[in-house]
Amino acid sequence: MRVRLSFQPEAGLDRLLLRNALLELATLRLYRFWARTDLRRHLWASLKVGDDALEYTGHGYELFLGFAIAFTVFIPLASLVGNFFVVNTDAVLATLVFNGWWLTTMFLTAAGRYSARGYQLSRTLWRGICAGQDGSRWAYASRYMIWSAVFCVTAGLSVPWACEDLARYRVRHTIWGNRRAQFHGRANQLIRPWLRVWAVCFGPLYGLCLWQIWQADGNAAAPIWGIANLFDLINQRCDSMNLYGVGVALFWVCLTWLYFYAAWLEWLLDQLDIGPSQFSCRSPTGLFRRLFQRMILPAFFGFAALTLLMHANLHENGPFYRLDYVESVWACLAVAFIAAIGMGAIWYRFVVIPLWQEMIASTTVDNVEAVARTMQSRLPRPRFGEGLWDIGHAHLF
Amino acid sequence: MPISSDLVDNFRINVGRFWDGETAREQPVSVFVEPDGLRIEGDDETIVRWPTGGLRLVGRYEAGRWFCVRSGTGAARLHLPPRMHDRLLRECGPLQQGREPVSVKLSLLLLAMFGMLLIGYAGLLLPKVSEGLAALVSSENINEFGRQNFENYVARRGRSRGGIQFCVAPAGLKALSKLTRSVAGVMPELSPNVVVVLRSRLNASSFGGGYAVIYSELIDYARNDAELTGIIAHEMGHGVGRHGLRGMLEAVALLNAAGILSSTGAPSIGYALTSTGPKISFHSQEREREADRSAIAWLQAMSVDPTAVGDLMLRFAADEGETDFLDDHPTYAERSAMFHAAAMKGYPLLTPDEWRALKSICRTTTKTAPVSPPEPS
Repeated sequence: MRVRLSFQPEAGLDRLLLRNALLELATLRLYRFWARTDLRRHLWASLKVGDDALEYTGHGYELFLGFAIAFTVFIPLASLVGNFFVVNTDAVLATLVFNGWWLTTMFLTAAGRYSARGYQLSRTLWRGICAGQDGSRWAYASRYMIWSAVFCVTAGLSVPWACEDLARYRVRHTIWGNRRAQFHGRANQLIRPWLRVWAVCFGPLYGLCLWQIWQADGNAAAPIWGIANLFDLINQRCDSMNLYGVGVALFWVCLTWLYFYAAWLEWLLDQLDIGPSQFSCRSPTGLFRRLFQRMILPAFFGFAALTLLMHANLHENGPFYRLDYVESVWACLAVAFIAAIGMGAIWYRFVVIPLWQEMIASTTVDNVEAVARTMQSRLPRPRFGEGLWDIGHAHLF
Repeated sequence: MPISSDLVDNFRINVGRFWDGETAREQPVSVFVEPDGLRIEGDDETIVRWPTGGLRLVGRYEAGRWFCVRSGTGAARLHLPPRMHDRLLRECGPLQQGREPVSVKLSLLLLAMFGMLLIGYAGLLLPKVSEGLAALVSSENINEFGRQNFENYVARRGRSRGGIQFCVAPAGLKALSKLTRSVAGVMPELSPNVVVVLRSRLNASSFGGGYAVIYSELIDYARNDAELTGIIAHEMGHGVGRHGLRGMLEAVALLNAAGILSSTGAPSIGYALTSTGPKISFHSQEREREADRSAIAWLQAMSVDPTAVGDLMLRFAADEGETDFLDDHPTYAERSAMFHAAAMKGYPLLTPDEWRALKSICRTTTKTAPVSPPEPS
């Protein structure tokens, strides 16, 4: 028997996103653990296989506890490294320590991401049967680091092979009840979409980063500081065209990333088996055009925020115009914080969720009746949430 | 909530779908309402009894065509059609939805514990760490730290409206130099580099190392050279105590934590930090006291009566108003008491002519800093 997957967000999603955004704003994003849980409950319940929806059974306090534990371990270390940069006067040593710390954080973030996936699966039920993940987070993070090195050497052209290897590791360690998932995807199916993205976006971006690192005598932090200099651009009463140029580039990066994400999602769903049930997915025609259309609203919001920010800084009647340098940096950060939270909600509501909706609606599962014999999972459930991933993500980006 | 006998007699659902939580097999069931809960029956036998108080609504599917109910935290699930579900709701009262009460309580408890942890980290651990790390930095590097801070300050003020103007009347500079040399004679490690900036602000600032600035309004406000010597000694006290560096180290740690706590990204916060300098310190009152203690010791070593600085504090309090406990300085009353307690017979360091010249130091101004910073070591 073949059944179709469907993803139809229930009523109340807009209200939930708005409430989450306001509460995150009020709590300086500390509410995000509970917001994420509520959103997942909502989204999981919207994804149905046949007549039955998924169920998310995680709790906000589990996410927070995981975060608090990782925070307690990580922050003193990160602070010591930060303090090293204050007291150190040796530029070579500083570059070495920075790059070493950056790689360590990348490794921990990859491991944290794998653990976070395990946590999410362990809190996902369908027909009362729990999903889960085994395998080692460190093995996964090691693979991730090796592929990152290959990525640097091949100027990003290795991405399809990295996707294949990492997806295979993730999927083969995924279980639902006593069934193990299998993945048959091959890198060559991803080469064409990735080459398109590489040619129009990633290749030039990679070249730009390399050039910045070259200019900064091999300091891998240079591109990051390049982005951080945006604040300086705003603050130095810069040529506004520079900032709009950055905005247009960001729009283009997001659009091409979405295009590849859709291709990757189709590839993943099409090559997946869970026990005797096989998934298949064909992405709908005109997806890229619709993605472009959906990006217009977030882009409009982003450009409006940017324009307001510049008006506030540059125009004589602007509220930040008369502030001194330090105050205006903080004011810009505050506006950027508010805009980022608003953008997050809009991005989810108008871009990501509709994309999932289309891709999932294009997915079918064969032989679904065989799942009736699936027994409950005996895998131990992780007690904590996604702390390491949350912290690593915030620290890296 | 006990179920009414009327409901027990009449409420029977024949079309429930049940998963027992052990297999994914769907079982069509009949659901009977009993005084203490639900009885779920498969083919001829009772599968499970669920007490009403533990029932929980965990999902609504297909625009309310099915409702998923579970009992307690078990994995078994019962899907009910909406008509039956509505009746169950009407007769039994609302099913629990959303967050479980235990989840809310646990969240609040964890938040409170985390808050205490943060306070302990910022209030107890950070000052010790920053003190230990700052002690490892050589006095040459401390001076270099001060020089960089000073140059950042000059560059920043230079970009602001009106720019920056240093007071450089030659006779005044000579008098100022005499005062700073006197302080340098009694303090360890650092050599003072003090400048006067034309600004209507009743204050002085240390940049770390021997670098400090006195605003012109404070020069106008001072009544004798002992008061200004006390101010210079106080700012040098910050330098010797490495307070600027310690504040910076704490600010890095705190902003790092804030960036991760709010998940806004460490680089942006780090950048804001480099722009703002050491603005955040929970321990500034204690450091002000430490700088005052150093100043008193050095004033006594120079045979300058600390009472003059105590009087200056009292005038500040009268003219500007007393500070409160949230301020980054202790109250003027406390500070003046500390200086008055160290009273001794003192002598002026400047002649009346030199003092008048110092008071007139802003007759000539320039946009270039009058100190020539030492080469970085």
